[in-house]
Amino acid sequence: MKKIAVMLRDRQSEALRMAIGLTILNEVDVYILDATLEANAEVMLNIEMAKEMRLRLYTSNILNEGMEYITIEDVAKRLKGYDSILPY
Amino acid sequence: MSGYGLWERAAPLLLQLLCVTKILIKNTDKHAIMKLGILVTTDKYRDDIIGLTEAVLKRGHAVIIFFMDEGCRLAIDKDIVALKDRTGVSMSLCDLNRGKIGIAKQDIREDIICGSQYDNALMNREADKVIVF
Repeated sequence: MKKIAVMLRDRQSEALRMAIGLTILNEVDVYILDATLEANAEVMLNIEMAKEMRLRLYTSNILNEGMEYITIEDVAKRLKGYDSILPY
Repeated sequence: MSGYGLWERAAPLLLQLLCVTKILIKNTDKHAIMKLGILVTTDKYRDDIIGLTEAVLKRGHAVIIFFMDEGCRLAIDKDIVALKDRTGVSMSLCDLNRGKIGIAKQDIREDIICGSQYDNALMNREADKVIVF
């Protein structure tokens, strides 16, 4: 089992779907830095599923509700602890 | 009598030497071949994927490629697909994305696995390092 960070960028829905899939064999955390979470049905559905799968969701944007706030400095510290970092 | 005593003293040392040799051989094998995972999510980096894969193979390592999203378009690129003929290369793709993009299943080479995110999870678990294009 690997420890993986998925960094959400411009294709949030697919990134979340991938993150959920990765949990089959790995430990996965999801990060969304600065950007706002898209308010469309697909993203919301994947967010719900991610929460049910107990993925940890972190954001540096306080406007993103339902995600744990984390500073950029703390993100930098945490990233050292992952086997893979997957920007998407 | 003295010869027997010598053997009795040497036997544990020889056994230890054998064990250490076995461990060394095992570790050498483990480090000789590394696996690079390549996650392909766009079709913009075709030449980089080919170049990187060839460089990795040249060094005697293995490559696992997983195509998803827009990256599935590269799973029908003849130069990318040709990498599959090389020893040490395995390929799979997200079948859901393939369908959404409109690539026919029969256009995908038989030995490329039309799989799911499970194959991505497997690649991430098996690979020593993963790079995203």
